[in-house]
Amino acid sequence: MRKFALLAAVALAAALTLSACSKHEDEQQAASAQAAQVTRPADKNDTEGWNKYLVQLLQKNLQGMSASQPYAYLVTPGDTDEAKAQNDRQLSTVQDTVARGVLPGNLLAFAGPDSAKTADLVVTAFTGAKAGSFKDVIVLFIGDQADQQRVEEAIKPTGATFRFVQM
Amino acid sequence: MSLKILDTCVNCDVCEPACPNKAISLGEQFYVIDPALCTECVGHHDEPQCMVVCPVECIITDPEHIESHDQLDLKYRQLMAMEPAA
Ligand code: SF4
Ligand code: SF4
Repeated sequence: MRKFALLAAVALAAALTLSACSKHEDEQQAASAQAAQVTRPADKNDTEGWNKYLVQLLQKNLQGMSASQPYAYLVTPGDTDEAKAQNDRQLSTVQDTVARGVLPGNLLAFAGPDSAKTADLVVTAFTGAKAGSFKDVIVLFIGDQADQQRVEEAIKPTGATFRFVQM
Repeated sequence: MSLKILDTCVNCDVCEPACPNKAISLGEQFYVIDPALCTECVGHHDEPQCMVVCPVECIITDPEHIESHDQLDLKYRQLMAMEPAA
């Protein structure tokens, strides 16, 4: 809640500042905000760049979350042994979470440079999830449109609120 | 100094496997660093690995746990001595 009170205060201050500014200043502000944005990395193996980019998308899509922090699950691309080990570890963490259920107000986000791989992890982890176990929980999938439907269908029985963000 | 994670953490788990001292774990609401185990990566790396990998830059030096480089080095040696033999 603290984070949301702070975000609300920042948003209000920004709105007041903008209304008092000239168009020129607006443009300058927009330009500097743009500069602070992390752009989508071209290289799928730029892990640090991708993590920053995906977490930025996550932070812009926290609406409705009442918990203090989201839970981000970042899926590693590639088929190296290291990537496989990381994703197996990630899958088992998510499966444990799904088996336990999640308290209302939380937000779980799934993302990775390889949208299909992220979607596979979500679909596997949510297979057999208890009906209604994610009521009032938001599940955010950051990926490609092509994978949206199967992820949405996989989480549907849990009662979670599904949110898709194009990466 | 050991390091500290701020509440802007998004619980992404990226820092935990990067820590050579297993000093990072999921706390009640977000990830935390155990000051007894954090050497600021002294003995392992030139810079704190968790700070390098954190995508939201929410890891800072903890003013409540100030230690010199020598103290961190001593902590590193003590931790190594406690490691079970392979
Ligand atoms: S600074 Fe190094 S030892 Fe300390 S928590 Fe971060 S990764 Fe671990
Ligand atoms: S890398 Fe940063 S955001 Fe992710 S769990 Fe660690 S401290 Fe939190």
